[in-house]
Amino acid sequence: MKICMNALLGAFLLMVTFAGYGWSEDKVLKMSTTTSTQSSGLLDILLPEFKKDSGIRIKVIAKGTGAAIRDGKDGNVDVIFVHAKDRETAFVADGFGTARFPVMHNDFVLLGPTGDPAGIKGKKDVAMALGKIAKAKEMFISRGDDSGTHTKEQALWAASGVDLTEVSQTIVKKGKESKVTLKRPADSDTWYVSIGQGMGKVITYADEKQAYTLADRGTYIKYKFGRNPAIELDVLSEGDVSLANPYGIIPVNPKKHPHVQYEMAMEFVDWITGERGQKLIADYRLEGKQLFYPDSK
Amino acid sequence: MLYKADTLVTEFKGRKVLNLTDFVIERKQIYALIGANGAGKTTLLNILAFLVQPTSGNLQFCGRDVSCRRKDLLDLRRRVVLVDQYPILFTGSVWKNVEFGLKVRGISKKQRERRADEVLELVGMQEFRSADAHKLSGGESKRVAMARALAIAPEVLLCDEPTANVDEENQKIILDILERINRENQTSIVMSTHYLSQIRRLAHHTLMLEHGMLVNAYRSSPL
Amino acid sequence: MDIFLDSLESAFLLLLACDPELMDIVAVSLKVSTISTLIASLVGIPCGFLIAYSSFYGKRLLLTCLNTLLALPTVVIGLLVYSFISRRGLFGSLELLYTQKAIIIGQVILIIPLVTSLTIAAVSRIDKRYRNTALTLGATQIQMALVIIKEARYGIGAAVIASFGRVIAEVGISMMLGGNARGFTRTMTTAMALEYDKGEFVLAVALGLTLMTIAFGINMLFHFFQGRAGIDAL
Repeated sequence: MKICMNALLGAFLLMVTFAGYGWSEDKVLKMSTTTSTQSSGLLDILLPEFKKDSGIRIKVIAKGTGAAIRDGKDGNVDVIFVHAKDRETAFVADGFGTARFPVMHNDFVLLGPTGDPAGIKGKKDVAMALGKIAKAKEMFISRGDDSGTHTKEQALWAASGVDLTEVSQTIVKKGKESKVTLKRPADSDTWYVSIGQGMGKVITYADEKQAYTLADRGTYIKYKFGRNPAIELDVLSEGDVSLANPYGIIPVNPKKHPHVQYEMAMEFVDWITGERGQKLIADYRLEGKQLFYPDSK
Repeated sequence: MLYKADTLVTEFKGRKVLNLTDFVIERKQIYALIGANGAGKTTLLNILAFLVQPTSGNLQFCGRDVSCRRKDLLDLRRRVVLVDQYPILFTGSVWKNVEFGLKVRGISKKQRERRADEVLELVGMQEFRSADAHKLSGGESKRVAMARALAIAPEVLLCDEPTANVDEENQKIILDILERINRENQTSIVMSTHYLSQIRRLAHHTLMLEHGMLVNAYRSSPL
Repeated sequence: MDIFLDSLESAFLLLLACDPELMDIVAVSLKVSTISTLIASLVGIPCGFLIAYSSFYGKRLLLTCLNTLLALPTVVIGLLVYSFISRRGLFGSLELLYTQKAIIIGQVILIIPLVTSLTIAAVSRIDKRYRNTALTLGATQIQMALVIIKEARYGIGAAVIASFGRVIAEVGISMMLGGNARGFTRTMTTAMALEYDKGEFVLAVALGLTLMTIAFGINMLFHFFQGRAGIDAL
């Protein structure tokens, strides 16, 4: 019986080992990115081209920005590609990344039902628009997942002049007590709904409830023009400077995590910020609309 | 005539376990049912208790055909009662067990109390009234099961080997009870047994089964 | 290992402080799971009894189907219910989606097969002589059923507890139909999924530990009620 078990275990280990050899034949770079980047479809254009040019296959792990950055900090990936500039700068300053390279930008839009009960249609000043939603107590769906979009949303609320309240939980990290804090409008239990899910889910949620929400333009276009039935939400406020959404790419610092594939990561950074990558980004169209604007000189 | 059956056949998984012709049971008598194990005694008792439906043939009870409609079956079942060879007691106290038959008939609590105490006294188990039914010995269980059956004052008492697995002292108590309720209440009794001494002491009639068939029936006079 | 120790300490800290956020999440989880289990039991126990005690054509097929349904992924139920209660669905006008009611609907569908099949198993284990004894003593079919259910109560109790465990631990239905809205439909499992997505592993594991504590407490309670008779039955 025991011999039999050992034989089985041995066979299993052998299989795993061979399978491992099978996978390691090509060069694989691990990249964590945000769900919005992946759902925009841009990566499906970029990555095969990069593979053609360099022979490197990229394994994409798509999560919220918070989790994507966390993967970088833990050394689970070789490079991160996200859109939360302040946190990216902090990531580099703390020594987790070597440097931030600007790649591209798109913008956020404020969505709402066609009926627009809060009356914000056409208001370019997004801070003012949010103020009106808060005043009318119209339902607003928040990502609430610590993502780039959520970070942006909290900053916009702060700028809107609406009273904010902080929700914090005390937890222990590395043996020390620390606080996890979220900002949300004060006295908003009836209308501010924080659902802690990805962009697509938030848009569907807002569509179901015919509520307002902040979304990145890429995901919005996908749900509005690339889906049948289309969502019944419209862009009600857009074009404000504060709605810009810059994407950056950061290789994980090999000094923190010696096992990361820094060389390969830099190869990808050079390619995506170079002429070839930037042109592909500028030429990318989703449902006939340009989504991203190259940022690298 | 209490029971009358003609060409009554019962099959189990395609095998004939009972095949009765000319089968009659009279009122107010004690019948002893004898035969080897597997001769069909238990099956017959289950049929007489209206718990098992014969495969074919006709059974009469008190001069009327036994129907298999659920409502009629309930009325019939409430006139007879079967005590198993290894009786099952429900979870709960002895008293709860004894009052069960009365409770399902919607008899008032006060009457249930009185009746339950009566029959517990009859079987000599009154001091076990609030004992846990599952903690009794085999003989005690059998006496409680007997009390439970008698509580509803049945017209017919069917007993599958009433003294099997019971010590001598309890055997005597049980046989005394059977004799007494037959004499005092005119309850008809059909019991299966292996003991000639019991037949000699109690039975007015003896029916002998072999391979599901009635091979011998004779009258006797109890001592 | 660090994450685990930190989480353990965090869980204690949050529970000791009766963190309102955490309490709210726990309350929603318990409320929704309890109602789901209750409804599923009210349907599943009688169904299980009926199936166990009746013989009909296709019973084996039905049992096979029930056992297959046990393996039904929560996501499938989520999708199915979603398609009915979405704003564009058949029952869209009821505005059920992303409410606690929606989670309950999904969870009830999830565990009815579980309660039913475990009830069938529990009832089938009860000696057939209980049925005959009740009938010969003059019980109606319903009175007989109550006797059997009483005798099978530990098995049926275990079925209910197992179902509760299934719903309080499931995440697919709560996420898809509840939508993880903070203060409304955020349950322990969806909160965990969220904290994981945010990269806050410590908080996620702390929630997990709380969930396990609650599960443990409920099982202890069950064993307490089972008492000595329960131990005898083992």
